[in-house]
Amino acid sequence: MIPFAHALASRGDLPIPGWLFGWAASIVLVVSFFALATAWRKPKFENREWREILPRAWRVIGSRAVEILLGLISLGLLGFVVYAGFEGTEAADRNFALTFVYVTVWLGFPVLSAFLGDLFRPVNPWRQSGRAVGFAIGKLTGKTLPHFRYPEELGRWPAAAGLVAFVWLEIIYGTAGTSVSLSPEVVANATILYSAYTWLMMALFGVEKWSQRGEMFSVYFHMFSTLAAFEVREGKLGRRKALSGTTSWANTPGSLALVVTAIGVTTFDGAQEGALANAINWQVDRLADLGAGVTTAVRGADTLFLALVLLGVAAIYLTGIWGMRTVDLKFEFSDLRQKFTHTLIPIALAYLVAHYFSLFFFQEQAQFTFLLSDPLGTGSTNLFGTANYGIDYNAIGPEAIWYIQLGSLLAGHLVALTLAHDRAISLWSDIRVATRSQYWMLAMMVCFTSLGLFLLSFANE
Amino acid sequence: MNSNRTRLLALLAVVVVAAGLFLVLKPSDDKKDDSTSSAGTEKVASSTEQTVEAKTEKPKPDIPEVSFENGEPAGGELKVEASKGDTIAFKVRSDVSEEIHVHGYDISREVGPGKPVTLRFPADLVGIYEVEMEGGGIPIAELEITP
Repeated sequence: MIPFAHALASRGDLPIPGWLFGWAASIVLVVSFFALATAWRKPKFENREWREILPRAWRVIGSRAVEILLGLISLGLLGFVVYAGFEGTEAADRNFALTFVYVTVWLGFPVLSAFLGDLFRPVNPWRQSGRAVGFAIGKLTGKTLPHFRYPEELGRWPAAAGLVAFVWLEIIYGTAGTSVSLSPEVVANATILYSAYTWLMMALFGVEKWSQRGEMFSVYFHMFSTLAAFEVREGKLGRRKALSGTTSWANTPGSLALVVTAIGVTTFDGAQEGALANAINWQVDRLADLGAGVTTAVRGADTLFLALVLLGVAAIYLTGIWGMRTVDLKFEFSDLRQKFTHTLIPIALAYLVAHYFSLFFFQEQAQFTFLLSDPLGTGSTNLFGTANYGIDYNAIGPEAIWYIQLGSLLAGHLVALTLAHDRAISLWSDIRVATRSQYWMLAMMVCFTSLGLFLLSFANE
Repeated sequence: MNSNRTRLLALLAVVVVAAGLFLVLKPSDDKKDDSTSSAGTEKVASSTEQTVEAKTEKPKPDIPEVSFENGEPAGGELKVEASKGDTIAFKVRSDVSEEIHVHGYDISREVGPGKPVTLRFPADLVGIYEVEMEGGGIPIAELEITP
C-alpha cells in the first residue's frame, strides 16, 4: 500500500534517503544547541501589542458588502459540495466534493492562516449564515435571541472531538477494507449532518460562541492563524508581532486536546501504511479471529491505533512538562501543562506540511483544471475548457519534495523552541532555572521532530 | 555589541556545519549515474518478490507476474521497482473479467480468465504508484520509481 495513503492519493512520496535523514537529524541537534547558546533574556512574544494598518483599504475589504458577498459564495460552495456528492461521479478523484473539502480547504487554510491571519472567519459558511438568520430574526421580532450559557469548562473539547471525527471519516472509514477511497456520497451526507449539528449548536449557544469553541473548522484554522502577524480586532485590520498571538491561545480549556489531536491525526496518517502497518495488520487479524468482518476489523484496528497515537503524542508532551517540574516546583503540573501548550502549534503545522505538501501540490492541479471545468466528473460540462487536463506528476521532483518536507520540520522545530524559551523566561526570573527547565522541552521537541523525520524516511514494505 | 557578535558567529558556525555535513553526506551525482544507467539497453524493472535480476545480456528477461484469484492478489501485492527512464513490465492474470488501472500513469487495460495481460510502459513519473483492479478497487501491485 501507498505510504501516507489518502482518500485521493494515486501517488505516494518516495521515502527520504538515509543520508538525508542523517543530515536532517544532525541539523536538528545543531540548531537546538545554537538556540540554547544564543538565547535571549527578555520575553519577546508575550506582548500582545497590535497596530492598525491600511485603514482605507480595509474600509473596502472589510466592508459589510464584501462580507455578505463572501458569505454567499461560501454558502454556495457548501451547497455545491452536497450537490456534487450526490449527483457527481462515484470516482473520488474526479468529483469536486472530495478534493475541495479534504485538500483545498482542509490543507489550504492552515498554511494560509499561519501567514495571513484568520482567513476562514469571514468565509465560514455556517457562521455567516447563522449571523444572517440571527440578524433577520432580530429585525422581525425586534429583540435579540436568548442563548444558553456555553459551559466554559468544555472549552475547545467539542472542536477536538469534531477534528477526530472528520479525520476518522477520511482515513479510517473511507479507506478501510475493500473501498480505496471515501465516496463522494458519504461526503455529501456528512456535510448535511455536520451543518445541521453546527446550526443547532449555534442556535443554542450563539453563533460567535460556537464558532470560537465548537465549530471544528473555525477553531482548527484559527489555531494556525495565531502564528500570523495580522489580526482583525474590533473590526479593524492590524499588525502584531508574528507568533505573539500564540501566547494567550491556550488559556481556554481543551486547547491541549485540540493541538495534540492535530499532531496525532497527521502522525497516524503517516504511520498507518509505514511504521505501524504491520502492527495494524496483526490487530486486524486478531479482530477477524473474533468474528468481525473485514471492513469492521480494519476500521476497528485503525481506530484503536489512532487512539494509541493520540495518547502517545500527549504522553511525549506531558513527559516534557513532568521533567520541567523536576527542575523547579514553583508551578503546578496543570499550570505548566497549559502554559506550554501553544509551543505545539508550529509542530502541528510542520507535520501537516511535511505529510501533505505533495498531495496538495498535485491535487490542486486537478482542482484548478478538470475539477473546475467538470466538477461532477461526468464529462457533461467543460466550463473553462480544462476538463481534459490531467495532473502533471513530473511538475516537481522528489528532491524538491524532500527539501520542503525537511525544511518544514526544521522550521517548526525552531519556532517551537523559540516559543518555549520565551515562555520559560517569562515564568522564571532566574535565567539559569529557565534554561535548565528548557532542556526538557528541547528533548521533547527533538522527539517530535525525529518522529516526523522517521515517518518520512520509513521505507514502505 | 558583544552578545550580538557571539550570536552571529554561532549562526555562521551552524550554517557552515550544516552545509559541510550536507556536502559530505550527499552522494555525488557521478555515483548515482553509475548505479542507475545502463546506456542504451532496455532494462526491465526487477521484482523484489521474485528476486529476478534484470540482466542486460539476457535476451528475454523474466517478467514479474501477479495473479488475481478469489478477489485478491495471490501471494500479496507485487512490488515493482524501477529507475526513471527504465521500462516497466509486468504480467497480470485474473480469474475474473476486470479492468487493470495504473494510477498516476492512468493506464487502463482489460484482463479476464485465460486472457493474461502484459503491461509495458516507460517509467517516466517518479514516486510510488498503485495498480488496482478498478471494479473492486483492490490493489494488486505497487510501482516504486526512483529518480
